Amino acid sequence: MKRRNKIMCIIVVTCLLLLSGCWDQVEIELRATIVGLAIDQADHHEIEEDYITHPEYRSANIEGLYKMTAQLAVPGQVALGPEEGAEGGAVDDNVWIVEGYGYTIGDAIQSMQQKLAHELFFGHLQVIIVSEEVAKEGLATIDDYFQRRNEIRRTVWLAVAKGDAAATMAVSPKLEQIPAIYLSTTLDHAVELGKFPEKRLGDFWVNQKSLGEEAMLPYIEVHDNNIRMSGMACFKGAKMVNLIEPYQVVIYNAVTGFNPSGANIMFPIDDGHILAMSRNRDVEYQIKLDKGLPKIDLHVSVDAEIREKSAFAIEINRAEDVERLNHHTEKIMEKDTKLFLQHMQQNQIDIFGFGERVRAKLPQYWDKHVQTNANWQQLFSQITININYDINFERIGIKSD
Amino acid sequence: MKTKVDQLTMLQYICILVNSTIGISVLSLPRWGATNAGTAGILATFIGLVLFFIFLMAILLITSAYPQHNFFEIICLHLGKTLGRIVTIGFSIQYVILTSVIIREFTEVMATTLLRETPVEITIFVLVLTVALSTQKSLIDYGYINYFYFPFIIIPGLLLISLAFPSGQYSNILPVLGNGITLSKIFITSIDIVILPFFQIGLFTLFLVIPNIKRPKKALKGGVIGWLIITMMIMLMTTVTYAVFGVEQIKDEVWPVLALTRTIRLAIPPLQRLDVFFILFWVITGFTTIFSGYLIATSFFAQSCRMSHTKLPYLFSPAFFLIARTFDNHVQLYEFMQQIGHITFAITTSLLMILVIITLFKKRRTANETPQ
Repeated sequence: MKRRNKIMCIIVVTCLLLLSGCWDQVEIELRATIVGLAIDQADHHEIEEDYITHPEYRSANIEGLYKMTAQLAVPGQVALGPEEGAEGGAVDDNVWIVEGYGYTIGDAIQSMQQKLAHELFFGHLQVIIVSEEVAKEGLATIDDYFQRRNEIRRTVWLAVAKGDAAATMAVSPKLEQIPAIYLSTTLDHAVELGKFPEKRLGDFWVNQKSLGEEAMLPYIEVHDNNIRMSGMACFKGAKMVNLIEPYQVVIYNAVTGFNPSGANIMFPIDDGHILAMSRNRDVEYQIKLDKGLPKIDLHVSVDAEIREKSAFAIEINRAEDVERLNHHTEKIMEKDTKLFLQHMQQNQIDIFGFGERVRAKLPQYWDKHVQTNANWQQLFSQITININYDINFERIGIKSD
Repeated sequence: MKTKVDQLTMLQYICILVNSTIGISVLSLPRWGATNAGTAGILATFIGLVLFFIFLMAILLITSAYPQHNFFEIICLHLGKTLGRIVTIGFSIQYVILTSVIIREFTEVMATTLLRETPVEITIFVLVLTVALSTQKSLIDYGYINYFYFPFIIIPGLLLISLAFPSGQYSNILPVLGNGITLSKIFITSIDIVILPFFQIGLFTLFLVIPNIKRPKKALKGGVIGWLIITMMIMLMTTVTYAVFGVEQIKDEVWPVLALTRTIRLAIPPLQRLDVFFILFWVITGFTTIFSGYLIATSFFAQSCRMSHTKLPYLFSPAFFLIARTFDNHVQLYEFMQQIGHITFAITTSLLMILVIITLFKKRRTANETPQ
């Protein structure tokens, strides 16, 4: 019996030593943690110095030239919580910038890896910025790399930057120690404040592949060392084709009934203006077949708040005044929405997902006449969309007139 | 005669059924439906579950005639000793193969997501070893193990569903009948789903459990409750995955439900990364299913030699290990899974049909004989 116990002991200890999963152990200091990635177009001259994944002669037929800029968090430098003492580390101390060039994303990342001792780690990636040029060329190759890697989360922000993506990512405001994290926080809060819909990397993939909805991404630009939300970039397939303005994004949010809301819109009334903020949105769709074409009726209900009025003459202290204001703003919104929808229909870009609803609600019609994304985009420009608003000012503020 | 202490309670029986059926394959389940039937994949999954219910009922019918007898004994009573032994050993081998496929599927998920550097052989070895060690114990312990793990499967599962639910789109799960999909195509897809090894393992655990439950008369009730829980979990998980991703994106994912955990985001910092919590879920669902499959294979063989399965826990270990490590990648694995699933499903169906017919025939005969 004793001998058997001894043998068991030896087996157990060996197992403990051999099977403790040491293969996958990585020290946190030995990881090159990427927090932000910027993707720009590169020129041939830059790439020629950076062949990594293939010999030179095989690069003739490959299209697309990418310059990747990664922002790595330097372990130990980034303080957790609020910084103590007056001397905070400068941004340059907290992050490390690495560049790589390549014909594809993977190629460029490999070229970055070639310059680093530690293995690149994408688990903490917060934001990917692509320049407008790259977005216009198409993001299909970018998608593949990021979707294939398991450690990249679908909640990462993917944004299009006007001009140089690397420069946009490097903008370093005072509020955060790492610029990329500031950027992702900005985007997070923009959604919470109702500035734009939640379109993250995962949503981008879903919309891009879906047959009846086109993808959108936040569009940002640098304004004096600040990041400005300049609207949304619209895609057709994987290519950026159009830009919608911030006020149109508000309309988009209304049409899709996106919450949280909080967008502000200025309405002309009498001789002045009223600034209204939406508090809650709700939308109802009715999709019918009318004369062989789908007809969409939208009913948008918005609970709003008055934030400001510009002229003394505007009266809002009686119930009928508020009622009048409701009707007035409804009319303006209906007109603006109609214009916006017409604009999108002319460009044949259905970012609202009407196609998905037609596919869901009128499957027989879809199977017979539409079937593909290309067909839908064409049909989208021909269909009738009626819009009807129901705006209700719920809150007026603490000023009495 | 078995004492009451040695027998499984109704709750343990339900837990065993649920845990064995909800397995690691749930991760890839929405993909089978989406690729073949589009949005009708949800309906196909449901039809698959209804088929599963029919099989469950068939087994309950077969065992209800001889509640105290195990699989081998029942087969022998119906088909004779020699044939009975051959069939039982055949099924034992069938479950060795099916379970090995699940072991490999589990290992593939692990190797792609978590243990990237660890050789797959090690993961397979550890898994087989753990399961073999558990198999040394009696069926009562099997009941307790499943009873213990039950909440670890249900709670994270429901949590995942409820967290992912808000980001779902209603239009992604419609139309119910799919776009341009024929009814026969939906039915074929549901067959493709029900042949997946984890359903077959869940099904045959009944043969192990029923001879050992306290009140065999309640086997039917337990089976129905178990089925309802399984259906609820699988349908909710499938529907939510469809609602969040839509058909086109699901087609692009190897494990859509795994990707679902990566889209969840909570504002509270320590809970921001819920993956770890869900990994626990996958490990346990994987373990319980593999455990059941392993036990079925070992028990059937032991029964045919009139032994207890606790005597031969390591008998098939090398076979499990070797079959599981033959595959190169998950593409190969899933192709094989469909092929072997169809074959074993056909075998299982024909056996169950024969048994059901004989049982009904015998019941009728005894019913006719009694009045005389």
